Amino acid sequence: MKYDQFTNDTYNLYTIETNKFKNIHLELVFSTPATVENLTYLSLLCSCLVENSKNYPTRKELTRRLYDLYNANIYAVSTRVGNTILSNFILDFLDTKYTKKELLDESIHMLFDMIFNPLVIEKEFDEDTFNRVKKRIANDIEALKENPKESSILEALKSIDEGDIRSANATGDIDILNDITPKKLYKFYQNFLENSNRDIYVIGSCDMKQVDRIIRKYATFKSIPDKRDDIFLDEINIKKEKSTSRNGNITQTNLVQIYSCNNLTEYECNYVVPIFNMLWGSGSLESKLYKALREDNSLCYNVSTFYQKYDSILVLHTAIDEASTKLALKLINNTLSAMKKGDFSEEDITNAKNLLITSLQLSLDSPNRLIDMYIFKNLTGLPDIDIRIDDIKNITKNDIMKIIKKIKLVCNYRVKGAKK
Amino acid sequence: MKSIVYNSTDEKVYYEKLSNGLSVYMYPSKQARNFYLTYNVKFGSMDTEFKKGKEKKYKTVPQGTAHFLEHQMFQEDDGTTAFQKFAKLGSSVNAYTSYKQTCYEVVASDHFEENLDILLDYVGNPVFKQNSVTKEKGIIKEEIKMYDNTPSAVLNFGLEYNLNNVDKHKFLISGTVDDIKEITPEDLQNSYDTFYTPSNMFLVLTGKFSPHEALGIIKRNQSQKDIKSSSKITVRQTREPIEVESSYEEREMDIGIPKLKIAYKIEKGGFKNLSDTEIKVYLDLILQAKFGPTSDFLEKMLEENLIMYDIITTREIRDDYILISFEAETEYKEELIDSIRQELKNIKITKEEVERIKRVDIANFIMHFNDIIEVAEDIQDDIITNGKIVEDILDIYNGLNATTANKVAGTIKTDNESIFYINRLTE
Repeated sequence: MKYDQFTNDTYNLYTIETNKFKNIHLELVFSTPATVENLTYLSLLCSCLVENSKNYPTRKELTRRLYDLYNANIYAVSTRVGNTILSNFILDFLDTKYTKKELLDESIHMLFDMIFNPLVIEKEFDEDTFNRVKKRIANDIEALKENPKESSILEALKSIDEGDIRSANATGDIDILNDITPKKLYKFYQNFLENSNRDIYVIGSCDMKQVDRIIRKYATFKSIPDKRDDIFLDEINIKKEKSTSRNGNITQTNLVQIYSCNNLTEYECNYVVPIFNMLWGSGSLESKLYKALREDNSLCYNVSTFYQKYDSILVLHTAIDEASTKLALKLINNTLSAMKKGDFSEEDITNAKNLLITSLQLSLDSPNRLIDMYIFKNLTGLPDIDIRIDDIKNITKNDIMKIIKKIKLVCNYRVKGAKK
Repeated sequence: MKSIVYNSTDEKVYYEKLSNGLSVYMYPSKQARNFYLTYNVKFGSMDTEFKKGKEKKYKTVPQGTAHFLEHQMFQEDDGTTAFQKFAKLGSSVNAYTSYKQTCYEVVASDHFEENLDILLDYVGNPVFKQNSVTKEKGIIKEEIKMYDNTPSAVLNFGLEYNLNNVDKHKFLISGTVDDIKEITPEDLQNSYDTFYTPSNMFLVLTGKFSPHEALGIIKRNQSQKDIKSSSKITVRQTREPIEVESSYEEREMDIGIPKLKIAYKIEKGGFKNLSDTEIKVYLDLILQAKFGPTSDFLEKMLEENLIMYDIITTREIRDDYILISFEAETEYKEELIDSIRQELKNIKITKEEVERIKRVDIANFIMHFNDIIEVAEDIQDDIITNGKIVEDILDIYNGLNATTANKVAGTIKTDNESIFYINRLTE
């Protein structure tokens, strides 16, 4: 794989030339500050931009064109990472060695045309498109309750601090959405194009100098964005853990715990907490929590923890029978107390390291994950995979014991299940 | 070792049937960094009444037995689990059960031989102890309750229950909480002895490995085992009538937008001179062209606000009928149902539509070789549904034509319809 970088006044182009894959994958990544307002506007804007364009004014016409380009796929994803929202506009298309050489230019043109030439009439987004997409986004916001795991985690975070961006629905807020008009959205779009940081990533078997020339032709940004900020959110500092619950319209109780992970070094964030996370509740079906709750006591089908590095928190979730709550909480507490006392073996650590290394190596077979790694390398200085693997191998039990002391329970939350 | 080349490509699958009856399919990829191994048993949730060899009586096991057995397979003789062995290698291991198959899977980067050996050994050495069976019931009960809270699962399984009279698609793959209470170690042992025999199993290996070395490992491993004789397995067949058992059901859940799924049972006899694969490809073409994002129909449904975004269509060839289904989020179920019925009665596929979908099919087929898991899934699906790899799939795509598409479309009837609707909670 050959990594390269092409600089431009208004954006950077990062490329990975490889013949590993049968497609060419391009991502145009914008970054904007994470606010609930931005999350909401970006959900609506991203969906409007990939719905149609001035040249293809209906979704039907646009999709027909994409099918004619051998099922070129264009979609947009907005994700909050710490205090930043990444809006990725993604183009996937078949390597032109299977089709026609011209399709390299035509496919890339298609993506940029959709971004720079949306269906806008007199400085307002087309009203029909706008209303249809807005209704869909409202539905997506409302649909959060259909996912008991996701909704209970966000409710738990809200119970700590309602105004904290960590607790925001990734799709946005319904009141903010209701207030958006086609005109306001167009204004936001202009500001977004002008002021967001932007990078372009391409992976595939193509002449990247030619790709650079094509992108220069179509990526007609007019401004130079400001420098980026650090993407880590401020840590959660509360004196006493919060415990809250509510009754749900579901059969299982969803139990959530939020742990703050404060005062960690970069090394601890990148390597030690992920290993602790593997040992305690993630990764293998051999985790301490999985064994205690599922294997030994049959309380649940699944229990998992996940570390949100840029939010400085670790989240635990399980779904159980309401009657098992007390026992589940006791077992969770016991596993963590045992680990604090060093009750885990060198073999456990080696297994967790191996699992983490495998998950990194699995990325090498996916164009999307390779690009993700490149994005985070640029965004946060995350080292290359080889360095990360070496660093993981060097983690000691002492390193893990040190970070367990820094992990503090800040919230116990449960949505009680009862309904038959 | 035979090699099966997908027509008009350089993509090759190696195949060998071992002397004990086990079939091995291998897709080595020089580009891949990792490998994906699956050990498959032709035993799914539908196989609940069966006999072996010359046995006269059918054995009956409760619904959910195949899935329960899959959970139990990870237990080892010494009280440990197979997970522990894989964890030492840093491998990711899992398993799943479908209506017709149980699959044990491993994905890893290194230690190919050890991973393959452990996979072959743990699926080959079951332990069914009463206490571990009892323990597993609690876990599976929570798994079933999780599906009760998942609208898509309620929609799919609810519709299957109403569509079918006696066909085993009617029942939950996991069984119900009451079903699993009935499962005994003996049920598991009987099922294992019947179905987990080499001639009823197959391996699919994809990714970074040498097929010659892989085959050597498998042969060495299998030669060290006491292989049970492979008798013919007979599963009691049902005869599913074309009529649906129930044509409509509505349920309430705590949801955002109401969800509708509508399905049709179609007579199998109507598709003359076409293989099952060709029927599937043509049905995909019809559903995509007439209900997909390039269709006039979808555009009209969106303009009239009858749906939120897409209509998800599926098709499946089953033992006694062909199933097509439509799923959408809608506030206007009556209007949407009427519109789908009307559209199905007036299908006319144009040459332009065929050419467009053909390009999509070909592109998707080439791109699926990017992903070693997708390649394996494709091979597994071919073996379970066709008994062999469909090597001429590109020829089938290239041969798609409007005349045949319209003939296939003409056989789609809307008489045998079942609808499942999930509405918002009213209280």
